[in-house]
Amino acid sequence: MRNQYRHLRIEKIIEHNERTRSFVLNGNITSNPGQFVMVWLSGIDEKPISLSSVDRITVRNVGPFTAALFEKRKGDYIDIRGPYGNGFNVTGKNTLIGGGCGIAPLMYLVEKNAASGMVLAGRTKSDLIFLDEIIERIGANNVIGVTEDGSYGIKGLATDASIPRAEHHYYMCGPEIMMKKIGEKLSNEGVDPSFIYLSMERYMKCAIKECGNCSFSGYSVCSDGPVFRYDMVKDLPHFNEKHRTRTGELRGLKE
Amino acid sequence: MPKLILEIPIINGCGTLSYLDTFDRLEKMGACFGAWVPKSIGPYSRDPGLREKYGWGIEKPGNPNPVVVHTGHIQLNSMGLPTHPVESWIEEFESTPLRKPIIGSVYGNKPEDYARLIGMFDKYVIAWQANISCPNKEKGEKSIREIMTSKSELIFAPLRDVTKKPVFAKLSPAEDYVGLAEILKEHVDGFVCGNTEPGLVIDIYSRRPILAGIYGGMSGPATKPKKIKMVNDVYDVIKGSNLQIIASGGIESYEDVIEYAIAGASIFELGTCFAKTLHDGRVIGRTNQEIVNLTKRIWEGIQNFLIEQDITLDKLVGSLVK
Repeated sequence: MRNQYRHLRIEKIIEHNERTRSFVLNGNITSNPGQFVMVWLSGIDEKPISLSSVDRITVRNVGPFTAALFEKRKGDYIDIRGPYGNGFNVTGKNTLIGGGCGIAPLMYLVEKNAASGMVLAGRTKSDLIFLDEIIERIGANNVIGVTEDGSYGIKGLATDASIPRAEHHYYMCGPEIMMKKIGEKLSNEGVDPSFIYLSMERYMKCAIKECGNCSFSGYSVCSDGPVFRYDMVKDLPHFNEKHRTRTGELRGLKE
Repeated sequence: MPKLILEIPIINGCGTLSYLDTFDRLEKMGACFGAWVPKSIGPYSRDPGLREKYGWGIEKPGNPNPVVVHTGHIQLNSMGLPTHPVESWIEEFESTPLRKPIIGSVYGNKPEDYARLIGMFDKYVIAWQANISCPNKEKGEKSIREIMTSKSELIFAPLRDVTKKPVFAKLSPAEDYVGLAEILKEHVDGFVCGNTEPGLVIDIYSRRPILAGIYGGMSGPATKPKKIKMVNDVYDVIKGSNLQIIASGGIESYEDVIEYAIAGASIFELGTCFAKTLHDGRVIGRTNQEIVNLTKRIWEGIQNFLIEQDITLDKLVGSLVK
């Protein structure tokens, strides 16, 4: 029997901004929005990456692994195992709140017609990845842009936006502090916290529950997550506070 | 000689689940484990004085990813013993009170490290596993198994002076484990049979090993017959004594536990079964709730079998008819 990897060719590269690219692959990965894959670059490293579509990963260049991935050209191959994790529930019409690269997994929900409204937040307009596609799919009236420098939409942070009411759920992906603040804001506005979901990130090694490194207050981001219900995580001691580093040490997120 | 008695004779394999917040969560959810085994603690410290005195490092990141690969039949891991400093382990033990007892695991880079680490953490645990058999290594280093097997007596002889708790030597199926058990049985209270042994999985496109650590310790149901034999071989060495065997290798059902008990083990580790294989061959991790359900199923299965067969687990241990 073969190992768990699929050897896939890069069909197309989309440059969203100088730090963010999407790689469209020559095969579909049967998956739910919110699930992730482990991307292996032989001889370099392997990292968890969100799917932004059934055949596409979207990556921000933040370190040596992503720098190596950014060296890849159309026609090159990468190896992928997965998908892993639970993903978002793709039913009904939901409000999405994405910050920076966190917009990527939410784009997959937009493609599945699961979004009725969306807040996209970033430092500057070019951080609002997939903006045009999202406007085209759900209508400009239902898309709220927020930028820290005011280059698009509201000037400020995601929490400064008036978040459109959802028929069903609220799905968030972005910096943990953003998700915490949005969760609080929605709860204060009377939204039932059990209707709010968020996607977590931790240092991932095995991705199959064995090693314990991606533990988030005792839940594995790889297998119990990455999507969690806000009311289940809002009081967890690690939420927006602690993570395990590559040695397994529990450290403050801001350390 | 101290004996290790657990309310439920099921524990997690060392290096799986690993950390106390996960143990805390699983026991609150009702998982049927009798004790928890945190990841092996090693000779690393934040304190420059301690590092100077004992020749310790600060921390060890372990191997880069991939650290695990699954072929569908067998899982290989090459974590490479990632280890954080003893001080942060102490913080973790102090800040996470657990209801179930802890079985500590230690490894050293020198024989003396074992006694030092056991002395430091003895108050947090009810028993010890000394890891002298990890097959994994980072590039350019030797594995614990390669360094420590020949020095085992130096490691275990001094431990009676630092702990009154049961000490288990974790043996490797890739060594002369019968010979080693003969030597060590005077110094220990039991054996873990056993660690993983190295295998190699190659990526046919890049012609490189898939694991960054090159070789990985093989685990899972395919390794079970070999480990059953290992348990039974070691049981023949300790028969008639008070020594115990902790079994590790491919356990995923109550039948596996009973089989290991008949071979001679009285405590049983779960590890590879924390992942599961889907119909399409894909291997994914179980959720906490699935682990809770799995352990309940195994423990209930054991109890029902014992009632049906009208026998106790103690009587079953080592009852193989040869």
